[in-house]
Amino acid sequence: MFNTTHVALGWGMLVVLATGSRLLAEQVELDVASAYGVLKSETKQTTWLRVGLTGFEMESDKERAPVNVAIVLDKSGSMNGEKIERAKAAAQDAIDRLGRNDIVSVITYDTTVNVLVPATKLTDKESIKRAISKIRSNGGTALFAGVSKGAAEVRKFLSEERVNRIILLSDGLANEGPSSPSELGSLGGSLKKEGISVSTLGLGLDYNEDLMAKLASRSGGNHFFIERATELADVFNQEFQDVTSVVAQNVRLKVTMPEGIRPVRVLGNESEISGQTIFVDLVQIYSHQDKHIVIEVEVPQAESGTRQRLAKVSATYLNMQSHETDKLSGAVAVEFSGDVEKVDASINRKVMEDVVAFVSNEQNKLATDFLDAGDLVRCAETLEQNNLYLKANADLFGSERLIELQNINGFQLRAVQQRDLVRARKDMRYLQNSIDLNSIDVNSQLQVPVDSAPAQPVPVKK
Amino acid sequence: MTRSPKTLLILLVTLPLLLLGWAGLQLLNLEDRQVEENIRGLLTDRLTETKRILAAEMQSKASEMEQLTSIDSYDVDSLREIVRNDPRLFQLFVIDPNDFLVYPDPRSQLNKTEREFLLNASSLINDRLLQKSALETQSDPPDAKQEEKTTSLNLLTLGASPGKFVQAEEKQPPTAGRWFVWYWGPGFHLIYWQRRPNGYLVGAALDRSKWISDLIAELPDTSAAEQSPKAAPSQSQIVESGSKVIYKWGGFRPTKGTAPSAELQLPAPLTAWELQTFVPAGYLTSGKNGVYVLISGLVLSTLALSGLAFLIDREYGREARQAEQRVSFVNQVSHELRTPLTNIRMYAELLERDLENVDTPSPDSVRRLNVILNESHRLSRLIGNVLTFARQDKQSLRVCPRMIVPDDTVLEVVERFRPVLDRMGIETVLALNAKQSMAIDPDLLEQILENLISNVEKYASNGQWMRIETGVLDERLFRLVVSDRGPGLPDNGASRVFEPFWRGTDEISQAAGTGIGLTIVRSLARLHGGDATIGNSDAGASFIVELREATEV
Repeated sequence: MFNTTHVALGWGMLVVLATGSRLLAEQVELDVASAYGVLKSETKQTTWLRVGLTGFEMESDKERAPVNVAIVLDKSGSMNGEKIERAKAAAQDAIDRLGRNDIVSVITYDTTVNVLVPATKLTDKESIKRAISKIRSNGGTALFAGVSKGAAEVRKFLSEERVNRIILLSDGLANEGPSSPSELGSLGGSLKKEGISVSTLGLGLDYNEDLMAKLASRSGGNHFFIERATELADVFNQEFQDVTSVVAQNVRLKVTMPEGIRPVRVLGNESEISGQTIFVDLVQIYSHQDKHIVIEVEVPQAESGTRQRLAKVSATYLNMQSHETDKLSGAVAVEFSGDVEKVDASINRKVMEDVVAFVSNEQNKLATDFLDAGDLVRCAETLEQNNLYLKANADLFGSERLIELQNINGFQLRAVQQRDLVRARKDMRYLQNSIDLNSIDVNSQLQVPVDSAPAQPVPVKK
Repeated sequence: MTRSPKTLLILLVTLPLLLLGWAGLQLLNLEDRQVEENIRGLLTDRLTETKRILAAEMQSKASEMEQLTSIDSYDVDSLREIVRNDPRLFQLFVIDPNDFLVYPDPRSQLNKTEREFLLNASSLINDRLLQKSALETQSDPPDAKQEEKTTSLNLLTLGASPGKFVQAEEKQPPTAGRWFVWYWGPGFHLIYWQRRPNGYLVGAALDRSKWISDLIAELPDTSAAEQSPKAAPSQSQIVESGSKVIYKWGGFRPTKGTAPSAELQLPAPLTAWELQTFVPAGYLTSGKNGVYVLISGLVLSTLALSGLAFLIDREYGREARQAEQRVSFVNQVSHELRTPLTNIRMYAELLERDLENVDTPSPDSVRRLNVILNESHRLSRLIGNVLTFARQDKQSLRVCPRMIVPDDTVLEVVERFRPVLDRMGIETVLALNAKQSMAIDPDLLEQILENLISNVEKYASNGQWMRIETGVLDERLFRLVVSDRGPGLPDNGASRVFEPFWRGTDEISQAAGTGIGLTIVRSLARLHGGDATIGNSDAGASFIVELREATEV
């Protein structure tokens, strides 16, 4: 049983200040809430805050922000055959999807990089599609250089008014030029500051998921695990669905906590904790996307009946509909009470659902670490506990989303138990990126029963 | 007889070819070296252009960073704001005039990148400042152990004592900042720093991935045209610290371990980078073209020379064949003539005996019979010569020595010639001193002398004089000298008189002869262990023949 008053309190104060926006322009919604509206008094404790931004719906396709996208295709020797053909078809379909105001460049890479189609407005789709159709695969994998050249093409038309993105497809390990996850991650971080995000599409079972996931998450892009080339078209579709539905860009959060409230960690998006202030660059919000982070805070003991403000939040973003920079602000406060029932009743299910999702995601990352250490027993154990944790909370909060996460964890557990480690690990990185970056769809490649998939030899992990 | 001309012809063909080939190869080598030098020069020029692009980019980065680090107020929030939003930065840092790191301050609460920066910058710790900062940071922070180390970071030494650090020298005004190269993690990192007028040192650690990515963006890609098989293939690359490839471009794929065709070191601060370019091995030389030209030249020369040799061979062969045919014809005819001639001689001699029995033979008849006898002797000699010549060709001549007194044989022959010599008015002087018995083939000696006298009769009859001298030089060597007072031998003839078919003159009016007499003289003399040579004489000709006594009879 929940006390409605307390629930309302738990959501905290919601203040929306829009500056300079037109009357009709829609707004992103800022929501700041604490996991509990009422905290236990007389004890030092840890609790969670949730800061969320929800995108609105673009009314028509005309209104959508033009995109400035570089499609960076791996054409190394391993892409030969169905993979390259599917990738070409998917890229051509994507080009069909875009309009005359959009900008596209196509870059291919193997041992070296080729700017196949320099950044250009999409006035002549056919010539671009023809150029794509001529791609032939061979050679190594100069991934860093491919992304660098893609970024250079995007930079030619770099604008806040456009959705600036690199879509990178690779099926192999980067083996030419800088190739470590940290170097690519750092490149992603730098591109994010420029306003360019990189979505990475890992195809097959031989790509480096750490590198691809890190490049995507540090730049604020999507990361996909695509086991079969037949799914490429769907994934390109999904990616372009996101790219063409951006409603807000350059989304930045600043969360300030009063002295005494100690920020412990931020779950979800990459963030900077500088003293009492947390800075988060959320990059973009897609239509209807619920972009959020969860902050774990340490609250000092307080007397019953007192109120304490936990955080002040300010958000700025560029409204892609009104083309204006909107500012939002909000705050959250809690009450202290010695009454345990009152505390329990003040729980915010929406916040808790995200907290559980993020916490389970951290556990999933831990399971990956165990997998890397070769400790399959603890990896399986961690996934199993995670599974139980998700199930219990899904029941508690009646959350379908948590059930879905529980299922995915279950698939991964089964894969680990069946020693299908390459797929399991790739699926884990896929899941982790999706949750951290609040992807609209969270999928698993393991949902398809292994039997129905074409027999794939499991490569020995080096 | 035909072997040496063949060898000569082969030499005629092969020697010029060898010379031509050798000269061609030398030329080709020289050309190759020149072409290689030129191409290497071109490749280096191209790399120099790339180097210029990179240097210009670094120059613009330097001025960007110069601007960025022109900071005079060091409020933490605003510094963090710069780091947060600038894609080029990994981290900023500020050192005050007293050598203290004021940002990122290790005693304050650091964010993730600040911590990472300080951890990796610990290699720049200066011991002198360690104690000083430790004293002042005693109270805080809780996890001081790690941060104590980083507190002592003294980047002042960057400017003061470059010896400890890799110092990048830049041609910039002294007030402006400098690049500093700093190794950690995946490779070298760049720091740009400057000292502000207020004494503070402001430094910017650049995001390595970002500046590498920016430099790559400035470099050429592998354009579609270059990937087509027609274009001259090449591949260039940037290599860090000798082995780590940063970026490659160009359609050519050299095999692993190939040495670069051209290399270029980059200027500071990119001294750890090297530009390399590769081209296929064939492109460094004038290529197969030169070899093709040489080979086709040699083939053509071979054909031309072989054709020439063939023509010469055919021409020469025709002459030789003609001579051979002539000899062979005469040889065959001679065989046929021999039998009737023997009969003529036999019956003529019988007739001579018959005439002796007649009391008063008519002088005319005796004279006529003598003519018949002389002429048939002469004919036998000719036939004998031809047959000897033929046998000599077939190497079937035999020496059949007998114990004879050579002078007897000489006299016999001279007697036989007497009528002819008398008729031609040739005075014959004999100086015979070989009166001892020796093992000599008399037929052979006879044939030699006959030929020599016959020569005098034929070519030197106008001298009206002939001298025949014999002697034994030592116990075993018989010597015969026949001299005349005729026209002598022509200047060029001395060495050639013994060659077959050689005649002093081709004039028709000259006496007839087969042209094999002296050849036979020499080969018979040699067969008998001696030789035939030309002697010295003031007028006319003199032939010396020596025969060695055979050891067996």
